[in-house]
Amino acid sequence: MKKLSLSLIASTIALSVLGLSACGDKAETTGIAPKQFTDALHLVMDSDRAVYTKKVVGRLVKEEKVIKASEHFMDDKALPLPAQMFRFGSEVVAEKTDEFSYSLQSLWPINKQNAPRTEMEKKGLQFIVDNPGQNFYGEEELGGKKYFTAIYADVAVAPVCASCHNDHKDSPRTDFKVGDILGGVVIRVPLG
Amino acid sequence: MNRLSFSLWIFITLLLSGYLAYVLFVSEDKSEFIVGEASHGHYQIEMSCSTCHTSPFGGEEVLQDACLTCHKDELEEANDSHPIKKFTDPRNADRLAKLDATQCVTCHREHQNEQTHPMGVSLPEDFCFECHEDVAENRPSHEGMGFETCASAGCHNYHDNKALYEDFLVKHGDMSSPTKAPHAMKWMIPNRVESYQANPTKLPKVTASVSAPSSQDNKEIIDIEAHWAASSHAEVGVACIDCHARENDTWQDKPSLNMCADCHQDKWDQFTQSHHGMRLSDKLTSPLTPMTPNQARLPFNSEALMTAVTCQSCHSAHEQDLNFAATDACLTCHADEHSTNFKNSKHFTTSLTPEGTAPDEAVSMTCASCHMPRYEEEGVTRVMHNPNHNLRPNEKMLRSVCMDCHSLAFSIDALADKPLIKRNFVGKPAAHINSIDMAVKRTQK
Amino acid sequence: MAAPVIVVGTGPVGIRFVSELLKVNPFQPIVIFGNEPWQPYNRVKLSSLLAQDVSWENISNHEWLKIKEHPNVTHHLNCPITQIFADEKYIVDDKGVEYPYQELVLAVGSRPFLPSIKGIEQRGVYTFRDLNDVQALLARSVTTRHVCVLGGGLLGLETAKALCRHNTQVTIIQRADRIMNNQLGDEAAARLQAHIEAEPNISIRCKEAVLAIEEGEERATGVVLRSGEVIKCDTIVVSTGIVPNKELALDAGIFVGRGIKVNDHLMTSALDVYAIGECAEHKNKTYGLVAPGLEQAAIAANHIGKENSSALYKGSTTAAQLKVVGEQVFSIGETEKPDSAFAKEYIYQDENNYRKIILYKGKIIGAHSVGEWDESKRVLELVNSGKSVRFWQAWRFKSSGQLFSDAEANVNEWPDDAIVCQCMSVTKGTLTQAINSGCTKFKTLSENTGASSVCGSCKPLVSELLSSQGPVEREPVDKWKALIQVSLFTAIFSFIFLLLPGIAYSLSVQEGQFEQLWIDSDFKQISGFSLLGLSLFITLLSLRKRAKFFSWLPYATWRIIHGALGIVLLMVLITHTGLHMGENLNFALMLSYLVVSLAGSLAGFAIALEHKAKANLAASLRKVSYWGHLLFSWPLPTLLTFHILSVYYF
Repeated sequence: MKKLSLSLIASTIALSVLGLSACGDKAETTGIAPKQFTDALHLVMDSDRAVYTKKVVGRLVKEEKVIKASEHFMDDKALPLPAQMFRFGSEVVAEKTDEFSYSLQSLWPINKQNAPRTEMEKKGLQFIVDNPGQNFYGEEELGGKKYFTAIYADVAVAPVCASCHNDHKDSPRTDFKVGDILGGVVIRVPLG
Repeated sequence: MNRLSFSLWIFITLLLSGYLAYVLFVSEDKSEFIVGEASHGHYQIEMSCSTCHTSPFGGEEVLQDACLTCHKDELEEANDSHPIKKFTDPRNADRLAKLDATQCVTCHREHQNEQTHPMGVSLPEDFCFECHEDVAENRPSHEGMGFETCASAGCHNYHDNKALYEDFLVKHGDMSSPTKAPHAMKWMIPNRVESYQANPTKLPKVTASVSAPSSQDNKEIIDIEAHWAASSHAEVGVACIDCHARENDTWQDKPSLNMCADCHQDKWDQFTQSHHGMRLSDKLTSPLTPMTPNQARLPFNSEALMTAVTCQSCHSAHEQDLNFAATDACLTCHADEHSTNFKNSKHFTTSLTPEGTAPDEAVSMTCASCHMPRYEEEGVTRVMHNPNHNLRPNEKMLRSVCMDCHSLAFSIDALADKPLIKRNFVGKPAAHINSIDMAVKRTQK
Repeated sequence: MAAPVIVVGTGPVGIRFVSELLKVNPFQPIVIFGNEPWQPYNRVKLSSLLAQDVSWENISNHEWLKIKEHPNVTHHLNCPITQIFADEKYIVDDKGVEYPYQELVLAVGSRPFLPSIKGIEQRGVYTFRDLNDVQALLARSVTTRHVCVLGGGLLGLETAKALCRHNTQVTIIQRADRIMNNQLGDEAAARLQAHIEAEPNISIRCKEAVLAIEEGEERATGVVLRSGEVIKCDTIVVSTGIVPNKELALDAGIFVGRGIKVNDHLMTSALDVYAIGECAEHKNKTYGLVAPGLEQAAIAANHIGKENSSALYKGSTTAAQLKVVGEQVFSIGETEKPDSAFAKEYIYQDENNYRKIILYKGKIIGAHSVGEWDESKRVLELVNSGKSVRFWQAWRFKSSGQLFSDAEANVNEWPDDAIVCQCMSVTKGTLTQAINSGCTKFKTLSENTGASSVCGSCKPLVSELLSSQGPVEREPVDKWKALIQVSLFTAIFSFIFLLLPGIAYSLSVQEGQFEQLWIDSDFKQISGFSLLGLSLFITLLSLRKRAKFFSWLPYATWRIIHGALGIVLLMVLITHTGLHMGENLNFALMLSYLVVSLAGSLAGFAIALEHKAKANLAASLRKVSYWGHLLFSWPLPTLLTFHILSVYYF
């Protein structure tokens, strides 16, 4: 398969080089800068989740007390937690595109698989904790490909965020308060 | 080499090349090119090559699509713990380099019988090591456990952990049996007439007039009519011609299986996903004959080896006998230890009738109780017609079957005990699986 | 004490005479005189020496080595005889010493014929006849740039070939209209000429007469042709024929013609004086080749050594089987069809061969060929015996170049009086007799009968006789020990595949991942295409045998390389499959590879051990395994193609 596809790859590269030289600078000037792109994405994600947290989970669980929210929402016939809702969204995105990807990570993750893995993630998550109010941007190479990586602080917007993280048996940190940084949203855009 | 032998050589070479080219490019039967026996899951449909190898010279992407064509829904239903979508994030690039979890064939390589383990896994059984080498850091209790035991000891599965995740173990951690009556709704024959009548317009009724064989003095036909009259078909008004004359409006002595599938599509789908019916699946690109036990790999009764397995193997065309379908139909063919031991099992000998009444075989458990369990869907009780569905892996039985009567802990132990399964659960589980104890202990901390 | 038999001349004929005489009468005292300072040598090999293909040691006369230590043989080398006193029965050497003889045998040979051309006596003009000439030419060959060889006969051609080096141009000037005009017809000569001129530095000019040799200040500087053209050159070798040395006899009053006249007993006109070899003239014929001389030596020795010997010399058929400039040339009798209604000629030719037979009243009166002709001995036999050629034989000859069917071609089927070794006139009967009396090694057989001791062209026939007669010790093939090793390893590797189970897949991802070699598709593609390349290359090697144009390295070496690459292939196959035999097509492919290897290794053993096994067994084993090797190879290209195709198809 490799050999057969090699010629295909070669011709594709040749074509795209031709295509690129044909479009020239125009493509670059009309495109959006990666930073602008990730900032916008993050704004949508953050807003949607805030709405879900407050208008759905907060209202139905805390105020009207008609349903619970549970990590095992299927078995418990409950609402997914806001963080789960956020992750499911990212999985759907992953199934549909590789134009960008995002994940929710933390220096104090409940699920250890959500701890930072790459050097950039480690550096970035530390950066947003050390510099409240600032985002982190960088470029990194993963699996032979270059990425623009943006990391945004994820803050406990409601008391339930903090309490849930404090009470979970797998949480490494139990002193979160509303307004604390729980972790970060990592958004990646492939470059080139 | 003289001219004669040279031309002979050319001739034979062309002959062989022509034959092989025909087999490879034209014929559907490509057995000459099979590189190894197919796995337990696929050997029945091995000869329908293009079902998986959908496009010649297609490469791995084609194969991946082929896997998902049949198994996508199943994985979704299992709440897959390692779905592909979790691994496409570039942060996992280093992991994918070790074990490409985005491709089914990374772990399930077909035609590799020599290196294929249970569940069609072609990797060494300790493959979890590749990503979870450091598991003991966060789970000190796992220190020193062999990675080959992760998925083989009844604790974890790669895909389906619906009955094995920690909170589930804790929740069902008490050793007592369930409080609900074991012989509640699930063991009763559902009222299919009601469910049909609730939704009666599934198929257009045949209106053409066709001449059916006369029943005058024909004992056989008189019997058929009697059987039919007592069946659910009669009750809901499915008449002779609805099956016998629906194709081309002419009388067919032996209606095709499509007649069954037309009305019982859900069961047809399940049946054709099972080993029993996969050779008839609509998803096969080239149709195969119905499976006969001699084509299968388990031990079977010798007189049944050539019986074609279709709907009618369990459900005779006119006589409705669900007790036969649930046990005796199975035992017509199956002769492995687990099957032959069934009638010694408490599952069979213990009556499920309320205490105080006499034991009655009719309400004891059947093969189908476990392997073709009832389930509820949109308020209707249905029977799972794919007996393999909750067997891959068998921990799938925990929720769908075992836990109706047994505690989770006991069930896990029993399902992990291979000899006990062979004895059809005569006796007690030999070993205790610690997963619940470990989960409870950690939660209490 | 009676006077000894005196032999004058230490050429092959003189030496042969001595050894023949010792055979007849071992107590006969013999004195032999030679006029050269060297130990007697094999004159036939001089051109090889000149070409530096053989060394000085290799040209010594084997028979001489045996007889020179004989107690009854006295030898005087570098001692020319100047006078014969036939009536008084003694001879005188150049120092005046007198030697009485009982019988005198003159084997004084011949000398190069120097045509009377102006300027032939100057420096830079050479002849090529004896070791002195070789020395002179060898010394000259270092500085020469252009050599003209006068004469396109056998010796001229050989000389040209020997002198032709990468920086030395050789021009052969032949007076007749073709080269070797005494041995070959027009077409055959043209073919041979084309073959010779394929050598980069040789050119041939036919129908050119040399008028003079251009005289330079120090040495000859060119050759002047009749046309007036001058071919510039710095060295000239005259090779225009030989003249018998008859002067010694002439001075003694012995009758001479072209040579020294002899009767059927090879006796000259003087009592007890014999003449044999190139100096002798029998029935108005002198012979310039070695074979008739040797024949004469045997007859003369019988006549002298035995009382009432009935051996008579009836003349020789001039048959020549020679390697001329690397090409086999055979010639006997007439070269052109006589102008007669009873004469017919048949010609067979293909890419490598030209063969012609000339029949007169159904009998072969002449034949010649360029290129290997394994039937030449039989043709000679046919000419000598005067048997008729059947029409189907002629027909077969026209279509296949073979006069005899395969069965007839077997030397074992030949009649006893058929000559196997032409140089030494050894018949098949003599050889079988010698074999039966214990000469079961090629070397001893050759020493005892003389067969194959001169030109060696009959070696295959002699070997064939040896291998089929009685208890045998045959010649091992070249590099037979290496061949055994290669075959052994091939067999071992093949059996490893056949007998050992596939290497078990490891049960842990934490162990060494060797098996990735035969699991991972990238590794498999690397090893797979290596196998394809090796297979192709190995197959190409077997063409070495069939393609004449490809002659780099001897065949035996390529056979070893073929086998060694086969072992490499099997080793790569291990990394490709992990010793798993696969199923269906793959299994067939694996089996094909292994059976081919096994048959090949068997063939290797059969060939290498042929000289140790029973003749029939070795031959049939070799045949069976060779054909097995070939037969099981035929599906390989197809199976391999479809294997590769199917890997990418699915």
